[in-house]
Amino acid sequence: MSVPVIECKNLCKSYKKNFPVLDSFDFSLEGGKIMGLLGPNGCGKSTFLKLISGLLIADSGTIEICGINRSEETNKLISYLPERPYFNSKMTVEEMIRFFKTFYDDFDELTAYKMLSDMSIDSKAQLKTLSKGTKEKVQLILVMSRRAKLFLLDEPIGGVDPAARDYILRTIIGNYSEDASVIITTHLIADIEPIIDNFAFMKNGKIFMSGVADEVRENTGKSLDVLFREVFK
Amino acid sequence: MIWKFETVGSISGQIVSTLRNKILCGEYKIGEQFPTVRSLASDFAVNPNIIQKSLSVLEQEGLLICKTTVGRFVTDDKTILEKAREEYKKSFIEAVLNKSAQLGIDKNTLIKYINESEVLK
Amino acid sequence: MMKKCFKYDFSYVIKTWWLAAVSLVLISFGAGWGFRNITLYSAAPNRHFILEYGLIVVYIIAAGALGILTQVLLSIRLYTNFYSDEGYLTFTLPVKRSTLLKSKVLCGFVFELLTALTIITSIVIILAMVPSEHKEYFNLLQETICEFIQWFILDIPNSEKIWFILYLFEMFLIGILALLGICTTLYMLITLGATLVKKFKIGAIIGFIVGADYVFSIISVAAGISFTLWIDAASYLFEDKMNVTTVFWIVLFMFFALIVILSTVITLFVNITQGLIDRKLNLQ
Repeated sequence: MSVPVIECKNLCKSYKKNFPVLDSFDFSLEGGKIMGLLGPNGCGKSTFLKLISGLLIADSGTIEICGINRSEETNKLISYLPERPYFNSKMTVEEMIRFFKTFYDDFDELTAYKMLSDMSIDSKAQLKTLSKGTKEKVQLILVMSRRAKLFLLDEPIGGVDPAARDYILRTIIGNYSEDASVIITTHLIADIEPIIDNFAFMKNGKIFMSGVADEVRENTGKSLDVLFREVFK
Repeated sequence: MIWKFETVGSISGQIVSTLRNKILCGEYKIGEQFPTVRSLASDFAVNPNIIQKSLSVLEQEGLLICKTTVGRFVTDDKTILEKAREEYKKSFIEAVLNKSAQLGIDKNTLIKYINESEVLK
Repeated sequence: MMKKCFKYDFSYVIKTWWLAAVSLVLISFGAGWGFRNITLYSAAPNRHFILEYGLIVVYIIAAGALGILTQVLLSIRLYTNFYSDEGYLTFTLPVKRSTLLKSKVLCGFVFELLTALTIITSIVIILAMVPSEHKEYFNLLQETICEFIQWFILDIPNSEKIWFILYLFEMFLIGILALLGICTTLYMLITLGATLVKKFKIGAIIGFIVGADYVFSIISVAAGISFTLWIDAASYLFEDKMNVTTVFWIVLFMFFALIVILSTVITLFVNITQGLIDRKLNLQ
């Protein structure tokens, strides 16, 4: 049995006293899986991703990435795409690529430049001159150009046009490798259903339903989107 | 081309049907090498594991043959293909009949349309 | 990793800083020219040195501005890199948080030092431009230095020279610590405002800085008063026991005490900052 790419036990996090965002949260994901973490706003999915990537520190519980305790070292294995743009806008796209290359050994420059040209983005452009949608695309390109073991994508297709959305989903699929996994959080469940292996519905800091995405229609006769709406009515 | 899947029926099931049709209609030639999981995943914009699952079903049906290290090939066994085609035609016609019955079309009306058809031989 | 972080911190600040520094040096030539004219032609009747005095005023403003600009640039770098949305990138890098802060502290020290050196250079330029025959205004400083050097080389027995070398070394250390102290205090105040306050972070930071200025002024006055009292008390208490060696030791000790105090405070501030970054970082 190979080591799961990520394993969390008893994770607890609260922002205010008696107001836990995550409560004894257990989670595990093997390599080669794309998992959709779905739930309404405020259910803790973004908080969970932040805990894995090190932006937040859990109150208690453990997080292990490929069997190693979470630390700045495990950040080498994780590629995190937050919901908001995180650039120093004075830099150009090229300079951002060089930045990623400097800090991440697994960054694939060629892939990044190829994706930029696919999306017709000028690599010499200053980030602050780009539109919001283009900035999001650039951010995604940088994240997906890493040969990481775990990809954390927080609302990757939210603010993008349908054509770009398509390209992004194809990129996520194309990045697939047997020892790497992806956790995606999103509201656009219909778009994401075909690309995920597993799904998990999250509410009040706990996962209360999970399974294989492809089996949902066979078992319930409903698409994942419809099931989601029913469950979270 | 963006493949739009139906809202009913599992995605892997829909892919199995789509690929099966393409094989039976000759879009993939007999004995020809079949596209890889990766390229199919990209074409359909679908998780590779789902493609894997679909291809396994087609292998079980005998329409695809997996030669390890070389890849997948469309079977060159003509009997299997013929049988599958017959099955497909049969189920298609059955579906038409069922739908006609649902719509309240009786046998005579249906026969009349078939006879007047310029498309059917 | 430290080198990589420092490279980015440094290049962010230097992009704007170098312009201001070069401008100051150029302006100092102007001010030097102004002083030169004033001293050369001060006897001339009906000659108004509006341009010259103007340049001197511009120089003084520019020198102050460079100092302030350095603090502002360092502050912006720290704040945007750590506490704005960019923090999502910074704190998910495979770099220890302590390394990230150390890089900023080093960068801060380097720029405080560069600023100090630039200002000293500009003063030297001005002094050099005043014609030698008319250096009455600046003779005092030059004479004092020459006298001191003469006295040091000729009048002091070799055995006692060591004290002054030690003092020089201690004053040098104090200078380094003072520069380090400015940027570490700045970083701590910014971090306090950014981590402890939920809304109006910038306002909180400004509030902290203004508050710290007050505190610092009060401490300086108190220190000045106690220092004077201490000198009085010491000279009264040790009047009879006073010999040269004792005085040397006392001065050495006072410098040393100052070094210890500065080092402790700086270490404390850095630890507070690091602690806040480790425990209270709540990016929105």
